[in-house]
Amino acid sequence: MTAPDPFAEVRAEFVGGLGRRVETMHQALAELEAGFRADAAEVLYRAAHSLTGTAASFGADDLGEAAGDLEELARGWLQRGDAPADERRAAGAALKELDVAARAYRVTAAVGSARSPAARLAVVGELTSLISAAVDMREIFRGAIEKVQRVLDFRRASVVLVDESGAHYYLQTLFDKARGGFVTGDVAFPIAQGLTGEAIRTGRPVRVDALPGTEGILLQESRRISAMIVPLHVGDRVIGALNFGHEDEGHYTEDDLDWAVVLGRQIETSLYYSTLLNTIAQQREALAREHATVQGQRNQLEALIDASDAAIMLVGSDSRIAHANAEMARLVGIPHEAMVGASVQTIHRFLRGSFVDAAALVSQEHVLSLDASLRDRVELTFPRQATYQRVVAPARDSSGSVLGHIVLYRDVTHEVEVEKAKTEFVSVVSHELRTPMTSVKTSLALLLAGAGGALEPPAHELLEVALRNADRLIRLVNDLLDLSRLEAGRMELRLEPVALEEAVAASVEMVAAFAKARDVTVRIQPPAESHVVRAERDRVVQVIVNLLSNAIKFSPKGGRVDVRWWRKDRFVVAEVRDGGPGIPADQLKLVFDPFKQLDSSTTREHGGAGLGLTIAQRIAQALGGDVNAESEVGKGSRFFVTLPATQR
Amino acid sequence: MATVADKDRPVAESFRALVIDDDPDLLMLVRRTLEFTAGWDVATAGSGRAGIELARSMHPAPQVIVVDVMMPEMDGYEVCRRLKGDAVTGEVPIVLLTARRDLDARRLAESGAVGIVLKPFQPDELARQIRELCA
Repeated sequence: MTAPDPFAEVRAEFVGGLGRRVETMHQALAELEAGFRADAAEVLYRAAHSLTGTAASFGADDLGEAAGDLEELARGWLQRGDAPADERRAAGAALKELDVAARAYRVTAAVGSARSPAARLAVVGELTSLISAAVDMREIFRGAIEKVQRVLDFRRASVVLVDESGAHYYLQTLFDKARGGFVTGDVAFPIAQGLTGEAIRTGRPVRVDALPGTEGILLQESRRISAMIVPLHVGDRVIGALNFGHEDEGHYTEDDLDWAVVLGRQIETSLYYSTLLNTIAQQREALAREHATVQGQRNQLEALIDASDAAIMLVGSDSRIAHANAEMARLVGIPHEAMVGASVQTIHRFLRGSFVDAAALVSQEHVLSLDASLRDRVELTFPRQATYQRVVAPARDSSGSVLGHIVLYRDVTHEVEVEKAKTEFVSVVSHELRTPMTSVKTSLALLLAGAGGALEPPAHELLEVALRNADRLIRLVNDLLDLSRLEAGRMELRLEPVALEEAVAASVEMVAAFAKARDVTVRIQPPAESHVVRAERDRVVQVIVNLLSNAIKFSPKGGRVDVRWWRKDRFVVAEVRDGGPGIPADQLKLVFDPFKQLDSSTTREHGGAGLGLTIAQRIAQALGGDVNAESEVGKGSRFFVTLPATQR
Repeated sequence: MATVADKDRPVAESFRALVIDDDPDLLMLVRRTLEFTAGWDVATAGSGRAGIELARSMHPAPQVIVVDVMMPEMDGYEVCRRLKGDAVTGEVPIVLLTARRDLDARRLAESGAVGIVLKPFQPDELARQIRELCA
């Protein structure tokens, strides 16, 4: 750049005329704004045309391009005799570009001359390097202003930015030499007012020699000041302005404004990249965070799966294995590494031979092809003869769509054996108890009936006590067996239509002797319409008998128990009401717990092990219904049996 | 025929029963119950094998055979099956006696028994229950 330039003189002449030409075009365009005028269009066209030609020869490509756009538009207007609004706006934009390009070219041309201050060039270079170094706006502004003070004289320099509403601009960075550096402040001004507002509105740089003071640089001296305001563009938007202020009048030259514009352009470039880089960086960080979260959750899930004793695999919606633990690989009988990515069909081929019942694998294949789940027990022969709890369940994302399925096999052979042993034990024990109880009861009954000869009254009385308690023991054994089977879910039920009227009558008959002994009346209040439930007749009777026994047991001498029933939706509800002491609210739920009577004295007073209500409720639940209670202390209790009605 | 008339018939009814049970106490008590409450003629056997032998040799043949289900060596189902398959005893109705509630439905059906009486039974109802099943 220090070599002598043979075209320096011609270039100087071109540069000298640039400002005038641009001003001519501005005026012509302003006239066209008021309405089409052929002479104004022609002035614009000629000026643009001439500039297009000469710019190219001086290597001012930006200038040439902007001028070319203007020339093209103006030619169209001349031919059509009209300058439409959208095209006028395009011309305005091209003229702004031309304006900036002209100033930039003037600087470049000056740099090429021996008179150029090398310092200014150095600053431009340094600002360029800010682009790659800084990504934060504030850093760019501060860096730029610090550097610029070496080559431009100012009292205050600032960067203002337009706020989101577009109606105001605010001070982003303010440097005050008198105050020794950057000053913090939070001031906003309307764009509609003032010189800075005008520069932002028009997008054109402004230089003033004698201003009473300006907002953007907050110089409100008593005397008039000098200022330069350079709008900052990002893309096609003015986002703010770079301001310089000096306390002396007429301090800045046109040459200084050119420099300010060049600096502005550098800052714009930095801003553009910083915004871009920021956006990219933010997106990249957000993605990385999201990925880390997902990966973290995935790792946790996989660690959980790997640590499980159960054999687990995740089957993706593509029907391939997304993850499988070592136990699943053992179950399938292939190396762990071969599991992930394998198709579920392949895995099933390996599994097929292990199933005792081939249909069990077919049901798994079926469920995997649907949005369905499966929970059952299957027998496998490999890797060992065992019973497995199998769970196949769809895995869904937060929106509920199916991502795939989880397939789980857990060896429950031991649990099954324990369950079986327990049921077997209870069954054998109750049988073993029943046989001697039968002998005891039969002996006592025969004696009481006179099979051993006539009895004296005290002997008769003692034998009656023995027989009553033998019966009680038998009931207890029966209740325990029922409860154990209900809890193991092993109560076999043969569902049939059961007429409630008949079941209630049979139940009342069964407790008749007990009611009579207690001096309690049982009254049936049948509804007009007959109701039929879907249940097992003997079990329905057992439930009602248990509720009636309970009601009779807690009724006062001479009391009454009422039974009535009605249809409610898909159910039939039967109510057993007594006039007993009632149950406190906090204990109402406890009455269905096994071995619970309200206090231990009631057990002695009323007899029974406290299993009747528990069994009644469990049986009703096993039949698809329930037993509930309502009570008020001093006003008796009401027990409700709900059972599914047959379809009408 | 198990009718109301049967139930109300005086105790001196002539009815021959064979009871097979491995529990000697219960065997005696069932015999005494049937004799005392209904006036039946009751023969007893303490094992399945002995019961089958006795049933084949009884003259006149029993009108009902009551068999306990749970017995060692040969259980009640098997005793029942053999009695039903025998030319001499095949026509005699058999009632099973058991304390178990979870009976093997298939074996029960295959046994050919006319019905079951659950232990513990009501002593004064036993004879009537058996007669009703045989009806």
